[in-house]
Amino acid sequence: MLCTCAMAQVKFEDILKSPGENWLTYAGSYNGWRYAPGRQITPQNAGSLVPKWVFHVPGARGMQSTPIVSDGVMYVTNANTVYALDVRVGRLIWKYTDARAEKQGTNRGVGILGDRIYFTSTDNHLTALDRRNGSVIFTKKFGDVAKGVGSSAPVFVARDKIIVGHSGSDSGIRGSLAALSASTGEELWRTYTIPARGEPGSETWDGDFIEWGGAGTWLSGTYDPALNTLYWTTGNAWPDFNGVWRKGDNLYTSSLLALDLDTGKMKWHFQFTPHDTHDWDAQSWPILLDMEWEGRPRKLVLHANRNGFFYVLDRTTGEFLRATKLIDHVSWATGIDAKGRPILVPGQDPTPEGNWVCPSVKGATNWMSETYNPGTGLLYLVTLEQCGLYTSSSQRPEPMKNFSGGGATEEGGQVFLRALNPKTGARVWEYPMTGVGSMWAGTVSNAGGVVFTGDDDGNFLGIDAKSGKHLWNFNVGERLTASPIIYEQDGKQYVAIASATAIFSFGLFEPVKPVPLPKIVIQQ
Amino acid sequence: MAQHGLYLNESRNPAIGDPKAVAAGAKLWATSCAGCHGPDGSGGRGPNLVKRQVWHPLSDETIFNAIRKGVPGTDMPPTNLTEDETWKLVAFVKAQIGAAIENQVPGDPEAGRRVFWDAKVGCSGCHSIRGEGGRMGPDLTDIGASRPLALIKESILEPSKGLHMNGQEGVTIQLKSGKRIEGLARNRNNYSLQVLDRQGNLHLIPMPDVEQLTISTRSPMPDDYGQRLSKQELQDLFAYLARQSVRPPASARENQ
Repeated sequence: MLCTCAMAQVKFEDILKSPGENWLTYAGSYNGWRYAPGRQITPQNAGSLVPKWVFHVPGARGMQSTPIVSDGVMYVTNANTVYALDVRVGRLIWKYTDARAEKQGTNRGVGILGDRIYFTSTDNHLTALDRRNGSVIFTKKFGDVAKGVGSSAPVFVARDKIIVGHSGSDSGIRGSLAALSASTGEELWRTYTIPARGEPGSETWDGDFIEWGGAGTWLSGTYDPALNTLYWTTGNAWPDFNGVWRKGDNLYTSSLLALDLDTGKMKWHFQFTPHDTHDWDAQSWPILLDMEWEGRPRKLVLHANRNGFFYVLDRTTGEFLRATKLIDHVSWATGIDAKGRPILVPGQDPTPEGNWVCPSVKGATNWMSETYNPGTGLLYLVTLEQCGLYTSSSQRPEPMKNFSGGGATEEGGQVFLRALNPKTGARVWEYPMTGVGSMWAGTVSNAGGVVFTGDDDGNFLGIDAKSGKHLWNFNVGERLTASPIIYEQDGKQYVAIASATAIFSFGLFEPVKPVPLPKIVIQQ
Repeated sequence: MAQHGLYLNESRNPAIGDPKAVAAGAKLWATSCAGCHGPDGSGGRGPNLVKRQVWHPLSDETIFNAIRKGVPGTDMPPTNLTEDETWKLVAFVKAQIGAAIENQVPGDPEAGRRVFWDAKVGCSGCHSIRGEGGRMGPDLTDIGASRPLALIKESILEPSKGLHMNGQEGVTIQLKSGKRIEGLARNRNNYSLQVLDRQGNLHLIPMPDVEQLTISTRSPMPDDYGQRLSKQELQDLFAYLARQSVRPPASARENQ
């Protein structure tokens, strides 16, 4: 089979139909479901999944990249580098490195639109590359490392806009989210997630450090095209572990924001962890789902939070509907009240001697992807039962010096893949894993009824979406630290994931056909 | 969670990029270094400093220390030069092996731009800069910041010399379907080919589809630019290409 490869332009309408043959946005589709409509892989045949190819990424450690697949080409990233692979065979076509980026860090993936790949360097430059050969179309700076911000989020494309966020909350930044033009990279709007003094929300900051308050936007979000609204999460308040320097709720840290795509204007916000002192960034997935709620159809957003609770909100208004416990061990709050605020347990803040609190700093869940499967009606996500010792430092904070106001340990604990009923929050089944609680792998599922994830021990897994029973595993031999995708090629379904240092692609077993050596003529 | 980064800092001795220092360094080079590394750094008993297996910029400190202290485990000895003299040598070495954009390349870059984009000369038929131009050949948007001048010159004047074949082979593919593709193989092994044709289209080809593969031992890049272009045109072209960079060069960044 030959790719004729005039390379069709990727249009916004194509991203709306993703995923299928292609995987055109980080979460597969704008609603965040990470659900592939193909049925080829099923619980009956998943046992015969085999690796089809491996691509080792030079110098990679703990890769967090989700691939994008379009027209037979897979685009993967490591810090400051994009690789374009022939998706049938895992062979490199081109690579681009931003050699003079001023920082190193991680990169979670590219965006795609038209004939371009959009890619951010860790030091806040957006580069547009030609999809065919990785040539540079433009580079545009959208943030300054001198202000403590970096860039690790996957690039998000909606209509004609490239949405880019910032990391760096752990050292103090003024968080923001920006939209850049897909044609030129120029900034179209920027919404700050930390208000300026005097602006609404600034009254929730009592102290000297509002200018460095944090609220990073280091993960991608979801998007409702009918409401033309972006759903974006924000990171922790700074300094992470000592809130004495920032009394008050600290808006808009550890929150979900609903922003108008065209203007960046905040339509509503919901804060999961007011005055957070446990580094519980809200960066996990706002999954968009339309469902009947108390007798009438409602547009919902589901959010499993690092702080140990699973929230359901109305995504049109931000109205809090319900929160349930996501994990078994939550010590800092007994529940969430009718307004969506936590009912705090006293004595759960970090202390100089160290305070044992659940969940740990890594949280009940984290940025790893989740999948909603409309076939089963269940939400599948990786959760961590882990507590930790949180310590606070009384040292006066200094921004951009890796000072986080204390520290936290992550000790022991166990990872569970869990299936939740989104309507009730009830846990339908769970799949326990062995390991040290260090995995970051996310989930993906298909219409065939298989959920894929990594375990805490270096195995890539296939689990029956209905029953939670093991179907298949493959030992990749190292930590899985990224979120998987499902794509198709020539009518066959494949699952791919980045491990710490390599990209693996798996498909159903077929005997390899012998390849006769080609007739080669050397021309002088 | 923590997103800590490494901040790379390049301290710049004033000798770097200074033509007088480079000239002084050239004299020191001729007496102290050329014996092993060749008059222009292209090697001899000592390694070729210009064309290393994978070109990457060496920091000023690395070069300074290698000259001062030698390289343990090799024949490169330490030297007795003063610090000032050593920096002049570093300046010369950098001018040879550093990115072209960090050195003052003589010529008229505006005239060079016209040469590059002249359809009769043909560079832009295969090469692109900032999205304009052809796609078959390597993108030159960053060429000044990512290659030393010596390599840029060689690529234009002797394109087939020292060709690393993978990623640069000119190929003609006769497919079993009857179709014929001419272009550049970005990658090739016994099982598959990834080719950019002359129109810049990408073809992903399983080898079983190939009837015959013809590989040229010469680069698809014409090898007669040394004759077709005048000395001045070449000099201007080098000056233009030496200034191409995705990001502003380090010296410009300092002045911001």
